[in-house]
Amino acid sequence: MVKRFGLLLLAVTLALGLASCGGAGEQESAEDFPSDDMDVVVPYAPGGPTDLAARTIGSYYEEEFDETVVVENEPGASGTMAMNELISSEPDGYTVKLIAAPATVVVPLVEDVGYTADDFDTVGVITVVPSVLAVGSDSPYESAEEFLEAAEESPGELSVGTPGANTSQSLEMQRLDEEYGVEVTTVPFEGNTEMTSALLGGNVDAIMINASEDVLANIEAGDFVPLAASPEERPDFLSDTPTFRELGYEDLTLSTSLFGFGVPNDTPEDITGKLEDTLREALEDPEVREQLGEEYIADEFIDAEEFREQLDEIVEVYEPILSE
Amino acid sequence: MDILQGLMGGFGVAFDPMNLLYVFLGVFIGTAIGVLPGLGPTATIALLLPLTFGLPAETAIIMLAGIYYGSMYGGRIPAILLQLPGDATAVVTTFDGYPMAQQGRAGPALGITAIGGFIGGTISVIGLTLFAPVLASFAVNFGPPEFMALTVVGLLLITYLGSKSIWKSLVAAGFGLLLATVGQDPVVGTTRFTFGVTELLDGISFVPIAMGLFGVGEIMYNLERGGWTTSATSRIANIWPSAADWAQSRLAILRGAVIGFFIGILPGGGGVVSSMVSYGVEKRIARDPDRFGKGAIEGLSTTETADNASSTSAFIPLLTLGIPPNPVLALLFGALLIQGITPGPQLINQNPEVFWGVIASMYIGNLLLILLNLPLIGLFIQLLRVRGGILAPLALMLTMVGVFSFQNSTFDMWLVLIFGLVGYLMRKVGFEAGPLVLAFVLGPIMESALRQSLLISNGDPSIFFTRPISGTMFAVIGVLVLFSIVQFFRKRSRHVSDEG
Amino acid sequence: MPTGQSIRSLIRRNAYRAVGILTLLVGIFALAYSYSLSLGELTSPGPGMWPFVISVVIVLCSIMLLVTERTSEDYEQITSRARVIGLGLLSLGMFILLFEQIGFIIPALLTLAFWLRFIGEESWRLTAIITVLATAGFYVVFVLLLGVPFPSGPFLGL
Repeated sequence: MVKRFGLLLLAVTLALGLASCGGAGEQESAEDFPSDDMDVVVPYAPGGPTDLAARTIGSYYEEEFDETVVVENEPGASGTMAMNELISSEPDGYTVKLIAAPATVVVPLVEDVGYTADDFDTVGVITVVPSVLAVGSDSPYESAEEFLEAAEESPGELSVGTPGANTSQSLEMQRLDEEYGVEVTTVPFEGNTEMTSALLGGNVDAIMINASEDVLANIEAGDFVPLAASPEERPDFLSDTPTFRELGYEDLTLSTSLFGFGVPNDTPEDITGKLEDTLREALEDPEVREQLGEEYIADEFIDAEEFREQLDEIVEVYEPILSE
Repeated sequence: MDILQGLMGGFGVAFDPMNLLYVFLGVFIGTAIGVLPGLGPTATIALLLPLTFGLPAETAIIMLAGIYYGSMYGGRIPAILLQLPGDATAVVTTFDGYPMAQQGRAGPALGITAIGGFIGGTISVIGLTLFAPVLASFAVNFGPPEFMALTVVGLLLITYLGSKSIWKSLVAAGFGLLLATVGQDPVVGTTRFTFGVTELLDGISFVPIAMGLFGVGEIMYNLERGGWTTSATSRIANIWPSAADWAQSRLAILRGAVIGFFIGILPGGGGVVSSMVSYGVEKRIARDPDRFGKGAIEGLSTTETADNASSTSAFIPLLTLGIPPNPVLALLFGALLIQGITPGPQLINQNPEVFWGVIASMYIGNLLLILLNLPLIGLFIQLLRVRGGILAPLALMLTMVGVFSFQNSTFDMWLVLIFGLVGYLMRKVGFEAGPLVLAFVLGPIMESALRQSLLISNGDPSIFFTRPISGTMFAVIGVLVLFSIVQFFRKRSRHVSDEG
Repeated sequence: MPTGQSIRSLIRRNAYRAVGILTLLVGIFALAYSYSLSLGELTSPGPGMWPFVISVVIVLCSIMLLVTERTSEDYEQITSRARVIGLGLLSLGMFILLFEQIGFIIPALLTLAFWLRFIGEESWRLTAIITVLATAGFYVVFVLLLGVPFPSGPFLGL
């Protein structure tokens, strides 16, 4: 009896498996787009700042397009699950993925994950979060010059916490050594929380950290002293902090996280364009700006093309470091 | 009295009818998701987070906190009844809780843990009220070397917690540690043991391993024995703990509360280690440690007490330093940020309504939890009257769906199946899953702590012994280990001379 | 000539050795694999060091297990009923495959019905009732209340 049922189950499996193949939708023009539910795939667990950014734009799309937008969280495997889902989805604009640079493009450089940084099209950037090198309030180093000089004098003596191996913060510290001969010991922690704890407890000499809101609060409270910032130009909210470029480390400008949207390759240009334009509008909406945090929205919208250029630059610089 | 004043203000906030409603909602949802293993508080809070944006900050956080400690409270139910631990602390709960349920004592097991959890939670909130700011600095002083010491304590306890051969426990723990290394190396990012499977890049999660080894493995084991049509479930003796149960658990509950409170403050491994330590302490001082693992009520009650105490004291680093000690509290942290409030040393002054409101709401929440849970015990043990032939498929389906909902991954469902089979085989050959799963949780913390420590000290291992806290901990560990070894040999030589 | 009976009892008597040898072999494999990952030095461990240390522990403890275990007391025989386990796992495997393809409802109905009727040996009537109620219950809790994104199915997205 049991055996017979097993066979039956197998037969049903096969039949349904066949039935579910085939029947892909036809392409539609951009005017009608979208006429159905959309998916936003987020490669992180729900609740984090990145997830919230995706959700904020997702709900703006929902209002604007008058279609349901479902945010799907697919953490796991360093975001490769989510990326594979995007790549295997129909290039029709109904599946959009949150792209987190540099993570999204660094992972395929390190691992054989079956795709490369070119296997998706960019839509535009939502938020830009710079990194900052900070010390504790009781640190003997009051400025970046002092800290970096001390590091140069005794290579490897000073420890700098970073949010994890292969993060842009770790890689920039590695470049500081390789390109400028300033050697610090990089200590990878897991995310901002552990680093904050390590700096407050005096376990590391400094941290290289995403300047997210909690970090800004610690700076404001005087517990963290920012020494240097990563972007090319000083961010508005750290106007007193010099950038690495100003300090003479010309090329250390890449430790900035970009969060944006991507779609599968071969998505019709006008549909990508529509998503891009709506994203641009969203970032001008006061409510959206407040939810994302005013300070993390680029003064000038980073569009699909520019986003792609920035990703290419990251790949170009990091590839030789990572393929060692 | 600043504290008294603050607390009174906090109760003013917490007794606001709307906040009362949200505390209730929080602990109710918490209990419910505690009963659904796999989903867990992290996913639930994440799902509910957008709904809280419109609420006042203190109301939002009161509800989310309620979900968290409510789920810790509810998590004991599937662990005891079905041996389905939803998180690491619930693993220790299964050690004696599940045997009790099998002996027809599910009622007392659920009852004593409901009471223990209430006492643990309440003692811990009192501790939180009085000492939060003082203890906060204790948590940051725990750097990588101290976490190394803490996890060493945990690993040593693992060998002690098992009820079977010590070598089997050690082999199982070794495999747990090995499984935890799957994925990317924490320092340089090299992948290990992934064999080209991209799903394994981030390693294996706790949920599929625990639910596979314990839940599915157990069901498969019973399936073969065919024992489930006439399972122990028909002889449910009594619903409430007897006076003897209470006498046996009384002091264990108090000890569990204190241990849970202090160790629970530590970010990372605090929760699990506190359960293990409290269990280990009871086993150590028990007159007949052999009962442990076979339904010792004091082992169960102390563990659950510590679990609830630690989930409350975990709020100390969050509220006083702005350091969320676990993923769930990280979400609460995020929720506060969205509300425009940054938890940290300033919170108590800048937003006393949030700081004291949450604390006061925990007193109420704990009371609501016990009132909500005691009447439900009768209902839950009815579950065990259900024939195995019906209960097993439902439990399996719950496991499958629960695991999927954990991170929306069918890969995790496959892992549950594989670990279910492994769990069954382990059961057949007398290996316990507990050491494996607990080592799996502690392993990554230990490796990171070890390597971070060595990076900080530039490769000088003396960092473990020269820092005051870790030095003291290692000294104590050394003395205890020496003591046990001496005791072991004495016992043995006595045995030999007895025989001779 | 050993009979089937005595071979079986031979296996049974030596079960504990088999287990120890198995864990030993896995330990040795892990040892070799972690060695290939670059060990680094004790003071600055590479990615292979930690798994290497663990593997050494597994190998040593497996040897101790082989030395100290004298009986197969703890080892239960795998009976012929174990076939049901294979079948049960197979059905769950099919559930996962179907779930990926056509969503929750149909595979859940099939799997629950299979377990209740053929493994639990419940009556058809009870099987039907529980199957339908449980599937609906899971769907309501996980999809409608908790919003877990199950793969969508062929009929009305169910």
